Formats: sequence, structure tokens, C-alpha cells
Amino acid sequence: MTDPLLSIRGLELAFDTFDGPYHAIGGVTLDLRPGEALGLVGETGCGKSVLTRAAFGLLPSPPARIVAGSVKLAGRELVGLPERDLRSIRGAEVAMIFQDPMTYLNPVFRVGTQLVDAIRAQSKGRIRKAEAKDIALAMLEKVHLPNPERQFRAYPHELSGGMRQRVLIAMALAAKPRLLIADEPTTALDVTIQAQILRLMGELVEDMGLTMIMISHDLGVVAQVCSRVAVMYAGQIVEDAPVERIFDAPSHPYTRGLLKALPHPFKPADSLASIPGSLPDLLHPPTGCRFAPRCPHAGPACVSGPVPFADLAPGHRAACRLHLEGGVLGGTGALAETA
Amino acid sequence: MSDAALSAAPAARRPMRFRETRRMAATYSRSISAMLGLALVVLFLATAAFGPMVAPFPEDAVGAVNFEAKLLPPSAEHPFGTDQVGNDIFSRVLFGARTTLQIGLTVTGIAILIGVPLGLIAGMTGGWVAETIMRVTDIFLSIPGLILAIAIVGALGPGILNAMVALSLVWWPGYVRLVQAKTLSLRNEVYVDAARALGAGPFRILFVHVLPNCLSPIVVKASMDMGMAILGAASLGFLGLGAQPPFPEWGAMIAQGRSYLPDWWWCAFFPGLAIYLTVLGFNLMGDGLRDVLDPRQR
Amino acid sequence: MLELDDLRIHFPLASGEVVKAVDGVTLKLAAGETVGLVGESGSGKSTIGKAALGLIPATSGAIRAGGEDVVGASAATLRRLRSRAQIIFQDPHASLNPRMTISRSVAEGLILNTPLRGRALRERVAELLARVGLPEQFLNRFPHELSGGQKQRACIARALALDPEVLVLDEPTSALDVSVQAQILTFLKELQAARPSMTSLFISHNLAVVRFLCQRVAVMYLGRIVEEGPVAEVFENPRHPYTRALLAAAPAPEANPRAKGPRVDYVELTGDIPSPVNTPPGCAFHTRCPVARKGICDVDRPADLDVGPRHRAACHFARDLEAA
Repeated sequence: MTDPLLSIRGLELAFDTFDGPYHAIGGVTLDLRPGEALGLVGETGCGKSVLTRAAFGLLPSPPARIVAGSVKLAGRELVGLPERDLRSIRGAEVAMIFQDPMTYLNPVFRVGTQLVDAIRAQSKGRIRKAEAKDIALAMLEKVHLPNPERQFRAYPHELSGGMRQRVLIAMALAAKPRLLIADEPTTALDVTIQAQILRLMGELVEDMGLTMIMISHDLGVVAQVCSRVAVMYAGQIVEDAPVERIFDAPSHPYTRGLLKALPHPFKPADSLASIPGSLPDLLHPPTGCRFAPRCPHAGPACVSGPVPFADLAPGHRAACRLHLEGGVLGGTGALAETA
Repeated sequence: MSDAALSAAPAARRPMRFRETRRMAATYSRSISAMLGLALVVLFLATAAFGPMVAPFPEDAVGAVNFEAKLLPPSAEHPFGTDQVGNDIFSRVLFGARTTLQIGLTVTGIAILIGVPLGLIAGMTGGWVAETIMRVTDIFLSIPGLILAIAIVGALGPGILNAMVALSLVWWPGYVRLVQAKTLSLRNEVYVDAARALGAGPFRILFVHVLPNCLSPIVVKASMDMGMAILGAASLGFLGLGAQPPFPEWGAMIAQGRSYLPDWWWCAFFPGLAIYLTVLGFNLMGDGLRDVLDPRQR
Repeated sequence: MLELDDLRIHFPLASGEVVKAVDGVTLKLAAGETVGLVGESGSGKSTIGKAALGLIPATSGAIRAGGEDVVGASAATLRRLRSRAQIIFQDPHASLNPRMTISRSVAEGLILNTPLRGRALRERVAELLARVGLPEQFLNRFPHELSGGQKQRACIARALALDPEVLVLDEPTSALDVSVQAQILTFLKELQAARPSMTSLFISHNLAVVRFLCQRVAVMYLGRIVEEGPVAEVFENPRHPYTRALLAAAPAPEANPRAKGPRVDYVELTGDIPSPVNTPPGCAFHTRCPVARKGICDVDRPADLDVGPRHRAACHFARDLEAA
């Protein structure tokens, strides 16, 4: 097995607020191997965006504060690295794209100018302008932007939302980063445009061997691109599995609840299961499993202390006592029956 | 955070409204400049309220003449010194605070009374009514306020009352602009649509849904304008168009003291310091209030 | 109960151009029916929702809601309409006045349209909120103290306060998380059973949600309905190429959805949605349509063709497109 490209170990992060520390990330451990496309899924406030931003030093401190843990990119420790070094890593080794592409394009400069500038900045000025333009055009071609020569001279507002997102993907990939982080890249787009962008991202992963973390609230979107899915709840990863296993053998009660709550366009259902209760107050996070207060299977063991991961299959782990030896329901068999 | 707040462990159960107020108070008090502003404003208000009662020489404020004590430097008896007719400057500054507060409140108050309704009308109606209001506002805004005020006082004749009238007349357009812009954006809020769907008429939408949500920026602007109005009145007083000597008004006092600079510096210095601190106080307080009430306007 | 007849809503722009947000829509909702209105941005689906309540004036055509003519209605008629038709918006946070308590917001419609006051009003509001699952402690809270789902419940209570016959739901769950969406959808489903005579127009871009809640569905593209019919029929046997593309693009929550999808051969669309200012001539969809033919689709506006029981599609080739 190859060494992980990104290795997060026991990362804990808190925001200092007026009411005390808000424990946004509570001990996340995650490995990402080169060429993997990981979907990071969860509901609002689960910490999926915060996690990736914290890992690459994008959160202003204060109020954000890394309490414990380490983040290693290709073996190099990022926690505690000065801002200057982090910035060069973000430009050249880790690229990011976000939900609203318009926010990240300067409205008064042509798309081409911004692309060329970004490429030259990423190379720290080693690439000459003409060369950068060739790279930019090649990248626009690669993201299937129609008419790249013309769009190169266009201003951002002349492009549609889907085209802007393609430009940002081109900009992000121009420096040949080792890791692409896509934070809800299609949430602002229409369904048919979303399908186009998702197809493009799937293509990039397969053909270019891109390593990617895709953050999304939508399991359906992640399923189209990613080979592996990590489900987050209240600042922790609760389940991490190959995409087929997440849908066919979901093992954490939260993942199951989430799947049962989703209506399906082609499988009519008479009722949806909803998850009772609401997110725990992360100013005072529950000890033990953070999902226990809403979990139908919770028992006294669940709240007594932190829950370790149980390995269920190759690459499939879930942080639930049900799957640990001597669990509430006595091992994995019991929960499989309730599915 | 106090111990009492910490011991109330289930924080969510406490009425959230008070938490919100507490959070706002905490945000405000965390800013040193905002607290300094508040302190200066409180000092000013206290002076306006009690100053005349504690002034050592109350008769000096109304124009007593005591040539034996003229132009004395600051001392224990006369902390700010005395002026050319022997009046105690400290007493006159204390009396002046009340005049200044009156000017500030009147000018800002009248400006709000004229400007806010006009802004609401312009924002809610549209069409030629709004167009007329906004163009007249533009005309007023395009003439420097103080020059216009000087012209108005010139027509009405100098005096503290006329100065206040003149300043009020040039002050309202800012409120029209502010309230009109705010109303325009609030008018398109989804909750206004929801209210219309429930059958709310234009007046109900105006007074129940739009006006209450305009209040924060009005309060912020009013706080800043208190300082600016005081400065404006002092300028008119300095030019001899506002309060007339021996009336204890800070601007007029500087105007008189000016001829005794630099040797008898205290005649102009202490009224000037009073103006400076008061205006600074209101501005710092306004900045702090804006950060708390209207964080997006930064 | 709710009828749109050749409805057109055009917005003139300052530049002299005209946005044809809604361009000839005919749709009839029978009493007790829930009809989904599906489309992407610029399709005009939300404009129809607001126009149905008289919040946006129609340019031409007719709207009848709860037996009242909405287009050109007098103030008195519109007031009568308020107790018969209500609307729930997408963003529950923006649709509650931030300076009003929840109970005050819910009471608004009752204050305006009924003689209820004082204690009786308070009791009615508490009852309404209890019905949507908000217990008494929420009465005096402000919107920012509630979660998104709780706010949307309050909005539903506000809309139901006047016992409307017609309810317009404008993307009511799009701003909510999946688990909260499931709660709201379940509640709406229960509401359908509890009030069998209430007619709902459910506006959404989410096909899965429409499938769950609606009996019929109308698919819109650039201000026109391109296909309309019973939900199962449209989803399983779509006859308009746009509907097919929309269904193919819907992200289904399963592993490798492309392999398992119902119709792998439905084509993915290329290009962007044209602007509603310059709608293409003929069939508005012909610029992106995989089956469009020169000389027909870019010239003639397709008429509605009956392609099944209560199932129509506005495509020249709707009958030629093979049934699944």
C-alpha cells in the first residue's frame, strides 16, 4: 500500500466564542492515498468545511485554535507551520475550489489575465507570460470550456455559473497540485449544469489521477464522483467506507438515518425516516458518541467514553459500539438484521 | 464572564433574548475605543445635567463683569483660568455643556423628524413622489452644509435659536438617503412578501415590518451626528453667527478667546478641549454601536 | 381550485428588453391535488407561485385561486384571497421578520383577517405552533434563536393559520439539511392526509422531493411547461427530451448511479440555459436539444401533444420518442 498523501491524526479544533470554546472538530483521523477521491459528507455544522480549512491554515486565528493533532501532507507536518509556508503549499500543492465561483474571480479583470497571473504566481514567477498563456489555454481546453480562445478574453460576468466553475477548476489545476479540495462545487448550479461539472470532475479523477476531497451535503452528488465517502457528524467522522459500502452496507446509525431520510427520484416511497432531535451543542459536546442522544440503538456504554472505530471490511470503518466486541447489540450481526 | 453566568450551566435554557443583549454588551465593551467614547459621552451628559449646580461661579456664566480677576491663568480657584472680563472659564464651560447638548439633540431630532418620514415615503412609493424627494435631497447634499447654514443664519439673523434652525434644515438629507436605501432593500425582503400574502396593507408593512428594521442604522447615524451637529453649532458660534457673547457657548467662547492667543491660551484652549472631547466621544460611541448593531456596515 | 390560463408575466428591463419570465402557461389543479412545478433557474416557476397570490402582477392571461380571479383583482378581492391562498417560501430565515417573536409572526394573518384578539388569539397561535411540532417555549423566541427546520415549521403554521384552500410551497425544503427536510416532508405528507381538500402547488428543483410528495408534475423550461402528467408516468416514461435530461442529471443517492439509473441512454445536456431575455424562437429548448431538427424546432413553437392519459408534452417529436 502506498503512503498516504494526506494524513490527519487526532485533529481537534475549537473556536473561542463569547460563551466559551466551541469544539468544531473533535478528534478527526483520516488518511488519503494518492489518486483517491474522497467525499466528505455531512449536514450543516458537522465541520466538513472547517476540517479542510483548518488542515491548510485557512481559518483566522483567533477565534480558531487547533487544540491537538497533526496534519501531514506527503510527510510534512502542517500544524504550526508559519503562514508564509502554508501559503506556498496552498498555491502549489493543494488547490481549492468553492461553492460560489464568482466570489473568487475579480470582476474587473479578464478571465485570461487572472488565469495567467495565477499560473505565474503558483510557479513563483518562473513561468514567462507567453508560456503561462499556453498553459492556461490548454487547461481551459481540458475542462471543456467551449471556445477557450474567446472565453480567455471574457470578463467573469460574461460567463455563466457553470463556465465560471470550469475556469476555477482550470485555475486550480494549472499548477498540477497534489490535492484538490472541492467545497460544494456544484451547490450553486442548476441540475443539468451540475451534471456537466460532476462529469468533468469524474473525468479528471479517472484520467489525470487527481487526488481529491469533495465536500458536499448531498450523498447523491458525491456518489457520482468519489470512490470513498467519509460521513461527518458534529465534528467527527462517524463512518468511512468505499462508496458502494456506504450505500449498500451503511453501518453507523447516523449514516443509515441519513440514507433513509433521502427521497429517491426513481424509487417512490410512502414515508421517510427522519432523525429525531437536533445537533448537540458543541460548546458542551457530549462525552462518548456525539450521536448517542439521537441514536435509536444508544445504550449506557455509548455515553461513557470515546468510541473507537470498528473495522468492518477493507477500507470500511465505523465509530459505533454496535460493531465492537461486546457492543450493545452484541456485534455486527444484530445491526445488519435491523437494516 | 461572571461566576453567576458560568454556574448557570444549561445555557440554552436561559432566555435567549437576554443572552443576545449580553453578547452585544460584551462585544461593545471589548472595544477600548467604544468604551472610551461611552465614558466621554456619559461625562458630557453628567456635565450638562449637574454642571450648572456645581459651577463655582454661576453668575459668571450669564455675563458678570469682574475686571480685577481678568485673564488669570489656571489655578486652584479657577481651574481653567479666567477670561478678559474676569469670568471663570471652568464655570462657563460647565454651563456651556447644557447649551451644547440642547443644540445636538434639537438638530439631530429635527433632522430625524424630517428625514426619516421622507426617506420612508421615497423608499416605499417609488414613482414621481420618490423622484422629487430624492432630487431635492440631492440638491441639499450637493451644497456644503455649513455654507448653507451660514446663508440661512445670515437671512434669519444671528442667534442660538436661528443657528439651530439653520443646522436642522441642512441636516435632514442624510437621513433621507439612509432610510430610503434601507427601505428599498427591506421592501424586497421575503418576510415583507409573506406579510403581503397575509393581507398586510402598505401602512402595516411600513410601520410593523420596515421601520423597526431601519432603527439600528438610524441610531448609529444619530449618535455620530450628535458630534457633528455640536461641531457645526460651535463653528457658527465661532463665526459670530450662533450664540452671542456673553452666552456660554463653546464656539463663541473660542471666538472670543482667539484674540488672546497665544499668551492667554487658556481662554480658547479649554472650550476647544470640551468640544474636542465631546465630538470624539460621540463618534467613538457611534463606531462602537455600529459594530454591535450593524456589523455588515463596516 | 387553482387555474392558470395562458398566463404570461413579462418584466420590462431598463434597457428596453423584456424578460419573459412566464410565457403562456396553462395549468389546472383540482381540489385536494398536490402538483409539482419543476424547473431550473430562469424557468419562471417561482414567478408563477408569487403571481398565484397576486404578489406579482400578470401581464396577460388568467389566474383563478380558490374561486377568485387574481389578475386585475380589486383590493377587496385580494383581501378575500388571503384567507384562501397562502405561500411558504424557500428561505425560512428570510421569511420571518427578525424583530418579531415567533408567536407574533404567526398571529399576523389572524390579526389582519379575523376578529381574534388577546387571550383567544394567543391560544390559537399556541395551538397552531403545537400542530407543526413547536411546543410552547418557542412562542416568545425570535427567529435567530430557532434552527432552520424550526423556522420553516413556524412559517408553515403562519400559512395554515387562515385555513387556506390553496397552498403554494416555493422550494420549502431547499435551504434545509437532509434530516430536517425529511421531517418537513413527512409533516407535509401528513398534512395532505389531514386536509384532503387543500390544493398545493409544490415548486422545486429537486425531482426526488417532488416524486415523494406530488401526484402530478409539470416540468418548466424558460417560462413554458414542456411536459405535464402524473408523477409516476412522467418519471418513468418521460416524453420530452428536456424532462429526460433533467431526470438523467438528478443525483440519485446510490453507488455508481450511472450504471443503475433508469435510462442510461438519456442524454446529458451540453451548453447553458439561454437567458429569458432572448428566448430562442420556436421551441425554447432547441438550442440544447439532442433531437432537435433544423427547420422545425427553431421555427415552430411546439403545441402540447397528448402522449398518455392526462400526460402532455410540448415537443414536435413527443410521440416519436420511444416509450420506455
